[in-house]
Amino acid sequence: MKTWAVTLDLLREARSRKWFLFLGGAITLGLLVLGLSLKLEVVDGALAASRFFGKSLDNPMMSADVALGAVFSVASQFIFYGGMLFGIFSCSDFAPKLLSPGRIEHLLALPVRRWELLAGTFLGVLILALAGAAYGSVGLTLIFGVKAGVWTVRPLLSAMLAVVGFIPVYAMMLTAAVFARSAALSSGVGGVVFALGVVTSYRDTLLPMFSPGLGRFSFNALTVLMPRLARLAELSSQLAGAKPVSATVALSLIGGCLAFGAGALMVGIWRFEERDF
Amino acid sequence: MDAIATQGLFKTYRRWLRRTGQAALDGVDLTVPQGSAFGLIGPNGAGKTTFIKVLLGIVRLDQGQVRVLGGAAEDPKVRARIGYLPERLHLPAAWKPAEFLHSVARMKGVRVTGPELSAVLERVGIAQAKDRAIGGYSKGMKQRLGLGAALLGKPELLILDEPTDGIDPLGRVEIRHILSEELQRGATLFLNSHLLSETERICDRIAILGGGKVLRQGTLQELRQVGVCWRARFQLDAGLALPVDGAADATAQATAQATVQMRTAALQAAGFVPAGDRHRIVVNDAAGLNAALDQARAAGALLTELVREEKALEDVLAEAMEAA
Amino acid sequence: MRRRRLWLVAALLLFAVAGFLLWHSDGPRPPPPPKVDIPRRLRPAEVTRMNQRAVLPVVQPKAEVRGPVRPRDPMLAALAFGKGSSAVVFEANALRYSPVGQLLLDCLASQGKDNPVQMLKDQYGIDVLKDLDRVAVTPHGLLLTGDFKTAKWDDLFQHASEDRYGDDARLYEIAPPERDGGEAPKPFESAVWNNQLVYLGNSSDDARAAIDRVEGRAPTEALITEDQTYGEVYGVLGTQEFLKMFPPEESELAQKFAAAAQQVELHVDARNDVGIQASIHGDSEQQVEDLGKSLAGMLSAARLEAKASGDDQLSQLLDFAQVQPDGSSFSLEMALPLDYLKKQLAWCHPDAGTP
Repeated sequence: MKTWAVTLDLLREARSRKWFLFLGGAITLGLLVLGLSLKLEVVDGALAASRFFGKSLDNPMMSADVALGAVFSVASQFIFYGGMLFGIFSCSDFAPKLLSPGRIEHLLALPVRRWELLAGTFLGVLILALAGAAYGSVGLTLIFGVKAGVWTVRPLLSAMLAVVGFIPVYAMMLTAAVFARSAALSSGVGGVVFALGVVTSYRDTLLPMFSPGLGRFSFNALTVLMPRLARLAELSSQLAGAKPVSATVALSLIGGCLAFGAGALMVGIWRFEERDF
Repeated sequence: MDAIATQGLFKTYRRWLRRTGQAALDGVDLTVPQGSAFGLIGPNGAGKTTFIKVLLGIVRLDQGQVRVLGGAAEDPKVRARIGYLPERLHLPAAWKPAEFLHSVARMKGVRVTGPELSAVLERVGIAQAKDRAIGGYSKGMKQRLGLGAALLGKPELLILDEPTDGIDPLGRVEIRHILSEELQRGATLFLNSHLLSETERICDRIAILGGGKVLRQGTLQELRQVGVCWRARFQLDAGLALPVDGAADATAQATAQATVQMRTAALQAAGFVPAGDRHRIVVNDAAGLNAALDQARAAGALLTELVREEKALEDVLAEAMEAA
Repeated sequence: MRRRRLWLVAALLLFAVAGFLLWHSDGPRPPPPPKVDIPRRLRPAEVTRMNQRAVLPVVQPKAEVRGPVRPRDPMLAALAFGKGSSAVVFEANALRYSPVGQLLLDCLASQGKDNPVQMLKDQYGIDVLKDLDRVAVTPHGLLLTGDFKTAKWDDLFQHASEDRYGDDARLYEIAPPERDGGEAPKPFESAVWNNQLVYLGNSSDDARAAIDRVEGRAPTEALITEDQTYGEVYGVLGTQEFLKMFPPEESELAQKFAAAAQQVELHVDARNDVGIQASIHGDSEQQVEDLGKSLAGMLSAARLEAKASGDDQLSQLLDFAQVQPDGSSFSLEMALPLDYLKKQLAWCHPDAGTP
């Protein structure tokens, strides 16, 4: 399958992009600062004292895993929302570049199926998102594991939920680029999907604000299909903080986001298959 | 088996959800024999690039049949046997040339080693810049790299759109040499170039595309034979005795001059047009040439030189467009 | 063309699946975490309450009495034993309307006719649910404040000897029946001051001392100051009293505690779930800090042990436990979710089924 070849090309392309160099550098710097300046004193599994750059943080003393649960929850939100916004801007021009005159003709003349080009691009961006989220979360886990003795995969799992949330957003961005080759449009669509994803998470609360009739029906119809990104972020936070999570709700959210992403990607592939270049 | 066989190709570019549009191909029938070097020429907007894209499945046909190397262009297995150089090749600026070639090889399913890639770069003449990023290449260097990518995997069919665009004259010689090596290997060459002199040098078969239709196609000889031009030198005063001394008979001189004029008129009547100290005639075949010569000789003109003038491809193209 | 349309068909199917799954995930949100207020300072309602209780007149101490001015709250005045002693005050009136108070009342009500609350009301005119304001538990006995004008003291103490004391107090003593051999049991002593303060204990000296402090005849060194009267339960425990709470296996921690802590101040908020704050004060900042760390470690270890042994209830309880350092003192904070308390009191309702 040539999909992987396309993916590797995208990753090679990303390697030279300043966005991703900046992200990698920023995460590394953040982890280094945290690792070198944060001092934790753990007594019998309780976080007794913590110092950052020598200054005491005056934190309450409690079980280290409970204390770090709050830290991981906050970090998960940062990874989710920060990562999502970063991804929307930094990945918006991969598809337009793929479709640029001179490049797309060359690629289509190679023995690669059209859907493999799109799928490979999508997979490449997914891998970038995974790598960024995993790097940050694993780094945090290692730092707090070594310093506090709290070893858990929860930060990594919650970071993976951030990637699950990015899937439908980027699928729509990619599809938009197939219809109109524009990085600005692509990132605009990503922003709209993100905003709708947050609003849709509160549709139960917002629905009664619409008067019964066309307005409420339209809002209901428009939002029933959108991924509930804010709910997914909450789920990610709960998972990171070791709070109880409903398996049914989690699986439905994750499955819904994946199905939406796959559906959007297929619309993009359909248009790509039909289109002349 | 023909390398390329098309029948009744129609393609109109329409905007999305619109019925009318711009017709790019208007019934194209074309055959490219395997192992030949085929050139496609025509004015801007004739449909040459569309035709090439149809061959490769980059553009979807409205109507017609296309067979490339015996199969459909949509079949990746067929495209794996084709090497393509597009007119405006966009190369990733941050990559090194070997990385680009390696990427193309991977997509083609061709295993290449480092030394093999270096050999390709050497062959296309950019080995000295192999450690430089593509973004720092000149247009000609990028074109050479694109050609190198097209040659990967020893393709059976090479489709080259303006292959020497941006390349210096000496570089063009190198490119022609590479292409002739590929021809000798058994590959079929399909070339689209505005440089008709290059097309004449490389191709043995040519098609002229105009207004989305094939206006003429055949070997270069066949195309040039329509309206061949001959250049002849006649001695018009042959057999006329002219006095040696100065006290020439005026009557004899007048008779000689009248004879030369008569013979000149006969040449013009036969179709010869004066061109300096020679005459030119355009005939369609050998019979016409012989008839004109007979007529001239019957008038007493002595043929001292006969040279066939090769018709330039520009002329062939211009004539075809005018006829269309 | 038909093959290409299959992508679109697949997309529509996937959107339908997505819509169903996402709609399915729109269930009710998980319940919010328990609302636990940890009492840390006087709240406005408590300031008002404190001011309303300052009924004793501000008088200069009498010539023979040396020491600080007595508190104007009769309960606090009566509790002014001085530093080192212990007293815990239950705001019965506030607790009655709290969820945990309702649980306790329901528990009592389920006793039927044997309900002591009903018995007190019917026989002695003391409606605990209305008349009782506060109950203080001390090593010297119980102190109650409230409005006891309708109480039938004579009926309640019909077998006691009565004596007048001070300006406005009556003392009652009930001598226990004699026993053959063994230690003689202590008499039951009671004092009623102004039908608003009641002492119950075993010592008439303690009863008289309490009345003396209220009426300003004895020196008062406040054990609980007015600004410490926040929460539905509050008090001060001496080190020895607090040490009794340590299990035997934590003897090392107990020794640390004895060395570092001078006093333990206790506050409980029961307006929703129950929040407990115990402030430990000491002279040495370093010793107090070490003690805080050790306590935090003990709680954490207990939590891990509870998790390992599968005691989810206890481990969830200890999730809320934390130690907040503050210079030469620290606060030990814990929460008791209402659900937990309900389970603990489930035995009280015979028809409630398993907790």
